[in-house]
Amino acid sequence: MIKANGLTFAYGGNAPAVNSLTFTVGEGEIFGFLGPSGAGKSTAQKILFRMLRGYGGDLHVMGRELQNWGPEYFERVGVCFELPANYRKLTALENLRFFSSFFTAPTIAPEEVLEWVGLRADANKRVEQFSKGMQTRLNLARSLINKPSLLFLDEPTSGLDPGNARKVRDLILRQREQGATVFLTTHDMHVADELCDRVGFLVNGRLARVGAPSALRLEHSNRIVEVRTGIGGVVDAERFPLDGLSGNQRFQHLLAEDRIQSIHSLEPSLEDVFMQVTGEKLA
Amino acid sequence: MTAFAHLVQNDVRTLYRTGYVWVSIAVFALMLLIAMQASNLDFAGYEQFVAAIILFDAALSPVMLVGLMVLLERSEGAFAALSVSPMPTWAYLAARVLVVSLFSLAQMLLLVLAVYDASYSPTALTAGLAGAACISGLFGFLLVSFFDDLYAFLLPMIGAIMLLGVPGYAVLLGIPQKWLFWHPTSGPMALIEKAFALDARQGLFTAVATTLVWAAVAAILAHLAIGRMQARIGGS
Repeated sequence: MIKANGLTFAYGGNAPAVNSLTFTVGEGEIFGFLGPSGAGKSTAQKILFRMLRGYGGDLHVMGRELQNWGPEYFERVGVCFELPANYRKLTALENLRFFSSFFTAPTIAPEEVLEWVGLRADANKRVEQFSKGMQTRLNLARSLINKPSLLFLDEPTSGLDPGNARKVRDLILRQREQGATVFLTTHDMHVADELCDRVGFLVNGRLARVGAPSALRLEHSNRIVEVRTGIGGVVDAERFPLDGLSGNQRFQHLLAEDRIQSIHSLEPSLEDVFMQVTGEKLA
Repeated sequence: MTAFAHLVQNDVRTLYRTGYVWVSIAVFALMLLIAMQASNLDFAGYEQFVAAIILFDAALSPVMLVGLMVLLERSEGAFAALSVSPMPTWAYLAARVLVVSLFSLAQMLLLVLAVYDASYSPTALTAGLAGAACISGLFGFLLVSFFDDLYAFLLPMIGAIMLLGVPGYAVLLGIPQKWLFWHPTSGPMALIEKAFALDARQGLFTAVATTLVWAAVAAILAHLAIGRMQARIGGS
């Protein structure tokens, strides 16, 4: 779906904001760019949804060099910005009807998309009465109205309460099930871990690593398990190497004693992996 | 409905809900009240003055409205959303210019109708007003593309309105119109003059042709300005 080879972009005469990015995103995949603020995530996305021209390198999207796409590109693409991007004096329904009028192919009924994002009851409220979270969900609704093959999401759960964040994550997963490719940028490791088939770690405009979250965690795992045992309310924790665990006498003894409260393989979180790989924090 | 019709509807709705329509009606009523006091006056010999005033007014509101509406769209993020939609840029430009021109045209025609007793050509007046409003509105896109907020835009907007009204000042100051042949609103000014049977320096064909050429140039510049504003959202 997306093939980038040596993708580079600099604002004015400054140092490149993204530098020699090489990656692919397969059809029906959820791919995430992770990185701290200023890493180049938004720049990469802006290039992909054609807000930034004059990039270097090769960039093929949906089988065609990006520069060769005309306005019909947006017939097949959906873009959800992190910040509110709606007419505040219009209602949610009016906003969606207005934007859906630009598509030549049939679009989804605005009421249905509003239902998906939990805004059906607020369909006739003006956007100026919406909270930031509601506006973020309306952004997402707008990006889905044309049944896009390729969906760009910028921090899709930013500012949402846990319930709505869950709803949005489920909706993104449903898009993939229906065949859409999703390209998201986030600095939220939980979102990336749960949603992404693969992630790319972006630091200072460079792609430090690409891989599946689970594979990256395993790769950087110390292969240790932590066993917590409890006697009389006092919890004790012991760590064992994962390799040769079945032959570890102390571990076998704890198992036999039947005092084990929990066993955890101490895989690093995606954030830990990010820090190990890049030497940078995500926040 | 087509995208163009939706864009027109959206602009009218925005002007209504932001309160502009009511403000505009209140100001228009005030202007009408003042103009009605002057309706008993004999305009003979003052047609040039009337033509100049009409040009100023026709140039004023399109620049202002286009600027304010675009700045509003950009601050709300709606312009960014439009930029990543298949919206045809020409339809966007045409819809907005149509809406702001119609507002300007309706106000001026009603004023003239209510106040001016002597004979005039409604066709030439409508053409002149429409030409001036259309060109001014399109230049409004160009101007606003250089600014990010209302406060920075206000003073240059006044400057732009004054520049677009130059053929009107030329009339008041007795400067020969032929020196302003190149000016974007010289064609509309000539048409307005013709509406009042004045001895315009441009022939009818030249006035129409000049108006159309400048409208085309302004449309191209406005189209480029949209691209410039989209690039500014991107950060370049």
